[in-house]
Amino acid sequence: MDYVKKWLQLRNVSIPYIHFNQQQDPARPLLVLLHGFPDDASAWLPLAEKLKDKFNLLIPYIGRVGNPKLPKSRLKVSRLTMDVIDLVNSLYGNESHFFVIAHDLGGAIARELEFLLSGRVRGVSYINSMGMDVFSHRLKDRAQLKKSYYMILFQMPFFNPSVVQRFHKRLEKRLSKFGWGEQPSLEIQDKKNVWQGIELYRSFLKELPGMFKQKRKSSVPCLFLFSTKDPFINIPPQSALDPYYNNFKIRVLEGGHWIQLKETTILANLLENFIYDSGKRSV
Amino acid sequence: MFIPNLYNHDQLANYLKRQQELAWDLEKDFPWSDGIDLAKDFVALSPGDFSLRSLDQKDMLVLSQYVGLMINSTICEMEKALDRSQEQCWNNIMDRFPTNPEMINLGHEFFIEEHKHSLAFEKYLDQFALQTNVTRDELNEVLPIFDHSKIEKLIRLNGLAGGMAMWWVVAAVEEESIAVYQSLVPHKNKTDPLFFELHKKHFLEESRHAGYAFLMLELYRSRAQGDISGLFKKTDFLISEILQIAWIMGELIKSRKIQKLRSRHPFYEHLSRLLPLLVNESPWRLMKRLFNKTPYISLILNPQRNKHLVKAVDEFGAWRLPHSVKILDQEISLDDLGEQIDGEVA
Repeated sequence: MDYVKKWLQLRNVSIPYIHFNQQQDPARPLLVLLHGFPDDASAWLPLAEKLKDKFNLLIPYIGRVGNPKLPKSRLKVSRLTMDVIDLVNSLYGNESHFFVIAHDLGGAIARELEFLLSGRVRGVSYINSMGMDVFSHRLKDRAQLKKSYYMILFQMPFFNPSVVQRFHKRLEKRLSKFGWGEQPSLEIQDKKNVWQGIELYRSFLKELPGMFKQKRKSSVPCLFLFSTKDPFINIPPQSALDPYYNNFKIRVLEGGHWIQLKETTILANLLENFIYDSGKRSV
Repeated sequence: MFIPNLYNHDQLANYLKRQQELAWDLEKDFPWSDGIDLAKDFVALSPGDFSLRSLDQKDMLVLSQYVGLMINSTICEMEKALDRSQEQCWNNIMDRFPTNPEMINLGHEFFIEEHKHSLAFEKYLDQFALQTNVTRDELNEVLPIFDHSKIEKLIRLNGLAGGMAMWWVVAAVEEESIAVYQSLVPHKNKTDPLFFELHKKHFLEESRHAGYAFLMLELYRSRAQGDISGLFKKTDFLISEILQIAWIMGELIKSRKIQKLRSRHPFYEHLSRLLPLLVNESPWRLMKRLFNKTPYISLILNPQRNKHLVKAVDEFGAWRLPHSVKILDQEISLDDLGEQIDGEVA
C-alpha cells in the first residue's frame, strides 16, 4: 500500500495523519489537504492518487475523526489550526512553504492558516468550502440559510455521534446522492467514525458570532471550486468574496458536494495549474 | 451552432482561442478605399416583396440600398447598445453567477468584437453619407437609431433588476445577422462588394461567437433562483420581443423624413417618390406585410424564426407572442439555413 495512517506526538496530544510511503522530494511543493464533515483524511485518497507523483502530501485527520480521544477543548478552530501548523513544522520544518486544499469544514482551518502563516502559505484552494468569517456573512443570503438547516439540527442534544452512528447506513445512503462515500473502501478508514465530526460543528457554531465581527482581507492567492449541485453551499456572488480576498478566482464544476471524489482528473489539473501559477507569482 | 458546455473550461478556452486567432482587422481586412458601388444592390429583393407590382429596376435598386442601410443601422445600433449596457446586463450577471475565468474572458472578447462590428457598420454608413452628399447626422434621421432611447433604458433597467431581456435581444440579433449574410451569398455578383465584405466578415465572427448569448441564457436558467428570477425567466423573452417590435416600428416611421434630403442626391430623390407609394396600404395590411413578408425587416420583427432561439425559449418555458409560433411552422427555410451555417463554420 502506498499510504499508511501514522500518529505524531505533539506536546500533550497525538495527531493522526495519512503518510505516503513514497520518497519525499524537498523540491516538490507541499500540499496540506484538510477534509470536512462527515469525512476523514481518507476522503482525499482518490485525489491524492493523482497528485502524489508531483507533490508532497500531508493529510491530517481533523478533530475527533480518527482520534476520538481528542479533548473537547481542542475542537476550536484556532487550536485545530495550531495542530496543523505543528504537524507541518514537525514533518517539514519551521520554514517550509505549502499550499492548502480544503473541503467543507476544512475551510475554517485553511482560512486561519492564511493569516497565521501568510508568509508560508503560498495558496489555498477551497473546494465547496470557505472560511468561517466568510460563511457567517453568507448566512445573510436566504438561499444559503436554507441550505444550512442541518447546522441547527446538529445542535440538538439527541443528535450526538453515538446516536447518529446507529443510523449510519441510512445517512450514508442519503448522502451518497450528493457524491459522498464513493471513495474506495480503505483499511484505515472507519466510516462510522466520521460522525464524530458533529462535535466539530457544535464547537464551530459557537465561534460563528465572533467570526461575523471579523473584517480580515487576505492576500494569499485563493481558488474557490464550487459545484452546481451542492446541497449545502450556495455558490456565492463574486462580490460576496471581494471583502475577504485580494486575490481569488472562482470556478464552478458540474457535480455534488464531494467533487474531489468523482472529478479527480479535472480537479488535479486545476489544482496543479493553480499551484504552478501561485508559486510563480510568489517567487 | 456550436454552444460549449458552460462548466467545461477546456471547451470554453478553445472557443475563445479560435475567436481570437481568426479575428479580423477593421482597417486592413476591408476594401474601404474602393468606396461603395452605388450602381449595385445592397440586399436581394424581388418586386413581389412589396405591395406594388410595377417596380422597375431602378426602383428595386434604390429600395435594396435603403433596406441594406436599415439593416446596417439596426445591427450597428444593437451592438452599440449592448456595449453601453455591459455594466447592467453582463457585469451584474457575472458577479451573481460566477462560473470560471474562461467565461469572463469569453465575455470580454465578445464585447470587444461587438464594439469592432459596430465601428465597421458605422464606417460603412459614414461612407454612404459621404458619397450621397449628406452628413452622418442627416442620414441617421432616416435610419433606425437606438441611442439612449427609452427602449434601451427599459432593457437596461431589466438588466439592473436581474433580468435577461438584453441577452434574448442579442441572441435574436446574432442569428438574424447570420441569416442576412446567408441570403446575400447567392447574389454576390449583384451586391456592392464593400457591403458584401462587411457582412461576410461580420457573419464569420458572429457565427464564431453566437453561442455566447445562449451561454449567458443557460447560465441564468440553471443558476438563477427565487421568485423574481422565476418571473424574469417567464417574461424576459416576451419583453425583448415587445421592445424590439416597438423600437423598429417607431424607427420605420422615420422614413417619412427622407423628403428633407431629396435635393441632396438622386438616391434620396428617388426614394422620396417611392416610399409613399409603398406604404399606401391599410395599417393592418401593412403591419401584416412587415411582420410576415418584408425581407429582413420581418426577421427583426419576428425573432422566433430561429430554431436555437425557440429551443432556448422552450427550455426556459418562457412566454412569447402568439403570432410567432404560427410563422415558425410555415418557415422552414431558416432552419435549413441554420444547418448550412453550422456546416460552413465547422
